[in-house]
Amino acid sequence: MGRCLGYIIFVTGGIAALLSMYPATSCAQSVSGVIISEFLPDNCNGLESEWIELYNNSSSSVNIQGWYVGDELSFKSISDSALYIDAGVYLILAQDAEAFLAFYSFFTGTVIEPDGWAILNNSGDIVRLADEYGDITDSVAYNACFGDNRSWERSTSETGDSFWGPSYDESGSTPGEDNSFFPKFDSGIDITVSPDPFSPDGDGFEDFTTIIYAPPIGGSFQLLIYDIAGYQVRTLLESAQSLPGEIQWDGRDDSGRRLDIGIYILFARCADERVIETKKTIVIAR
Amino acid sequence: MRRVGVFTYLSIIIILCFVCAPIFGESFGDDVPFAAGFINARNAQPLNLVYYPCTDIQSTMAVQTSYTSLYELSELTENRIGFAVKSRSFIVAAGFSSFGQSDYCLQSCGDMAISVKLYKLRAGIGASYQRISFSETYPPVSLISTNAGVSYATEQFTLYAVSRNINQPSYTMHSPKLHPEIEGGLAYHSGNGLISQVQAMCMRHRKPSAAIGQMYPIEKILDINWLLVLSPVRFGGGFRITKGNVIFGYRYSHHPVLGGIHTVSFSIFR
Repeated sequence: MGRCLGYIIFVTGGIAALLSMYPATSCAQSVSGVIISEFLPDNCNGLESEWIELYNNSSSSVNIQGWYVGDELSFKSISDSALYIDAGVYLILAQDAEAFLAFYSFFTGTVIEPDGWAILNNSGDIVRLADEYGDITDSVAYNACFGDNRSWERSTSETGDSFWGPSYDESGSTPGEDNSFFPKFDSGIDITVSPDPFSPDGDGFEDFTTIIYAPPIGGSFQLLIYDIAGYQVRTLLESAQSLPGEIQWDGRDDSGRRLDIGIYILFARCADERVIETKKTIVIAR
Repeated sequence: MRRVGVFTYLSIIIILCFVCAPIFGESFGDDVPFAAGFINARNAQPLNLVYYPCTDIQSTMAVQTSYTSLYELSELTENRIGFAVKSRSFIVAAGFSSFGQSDYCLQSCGDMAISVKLYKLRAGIGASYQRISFSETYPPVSLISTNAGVSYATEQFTLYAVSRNINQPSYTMHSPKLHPEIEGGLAYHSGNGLISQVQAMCMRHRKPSAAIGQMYPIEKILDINWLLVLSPVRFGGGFRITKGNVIFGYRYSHHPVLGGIHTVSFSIFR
């Protein structure tokens, strides 16, 4: 009896401890019909209009008469009269259609200026699209803007999952055209560290190491340093926009203390609807 | 009265460790077992003895070798070999380990430990020589450190305290130092063979950590164990298979961010 009870306590304790280790993850769902495919909330540099791009990804025309577009707090009617978006065609909703066309002089598609416009916050908001019954057909939440008129773009993977990220186009956006953003989540995070080993001892020789990173575009990016015992000793990047870049590490921990000689682990994580991670060792020599 | 003396002795050692800790300056590395593993202070294995010089073994002679792979990174592998000899109340243990890769960063370590049992008290000391070599750009560095520990065992309880990396002599001008650290644990031995243990560890410049774990003999030849470390959070589990004079062991330790640590070990004892 005692042995049985001990075994139950043992197994229960072990399972409870194991379950506490794993976080949850999430994945975006695909939407069919008229969808939000791109938007620019932080217009600047002479562009006097926010805009939202809609795209009909179904196989037939859709009449969006009576549909609404809006932010987290309010909706505005798109059109009181019949307005068809053909299959595979884009439609631009602009805060100011004239200003939009003045800036995007190459644009040849259709631009609609709704009677009202719900201003999109630069610090984060929700773009929502609703049908004539007020039912939300699509929405996207964002928590940052990119500046320089770089838009948020949607991309859909082969499995049908949707991902959002900054436009990868040189001009910063692709209104009325196929989106440039393609989430390369299967390609991993490219990281190079040089020099490695390095010696942050203040003698002017290899006191810093440079970490060059190329994560998938979109989502948030995290760059951390751990020691081999598993302690997180330095946060290099936290909740940064997932864009290629480089950063120097001076061999110190978050308190500014010079870390000891030995092997450390550089941990990189890119998180959007999906999460990819990579690890690499770095050596502090002396 | 005797118990009061034992606890006074333990307290003095722990206080001395704390007093010694602040005198150490720059240090390197982590001279602690990488994986979260359960330590049976009454029936340890040779490779445990160099980290826990106060632990006991149940054989007169034992040899052990182990291989550890950390976080699925090829640069982070460790090979260890050690032996222990027990004669009457004395235990002598020695070991050698290498961690890393020679063309990148290789940490080599030689350890020795000796302990003696007086009544229910076992006290031990150990010394380690470490050498870290790098790729050609940098010269190697080396150091010596010492460990000390004491354990007290009754029929149902085992209490131990270990202080590592104390009293490091700097035999070269630029010899780096290890982090001084203190670890203590209390184990409860049930009549059915179940061992439940709590541990606490304190290391310079690190958050204090604690751990809980259990070891349970399922069959005569098989025992399993688990250990949950609270900071950084890690869960470890493993088993040992004993057949004749041979022990095969496996242990897995999970770090929530960095991934898993796998250790396999093989022991022969007499």
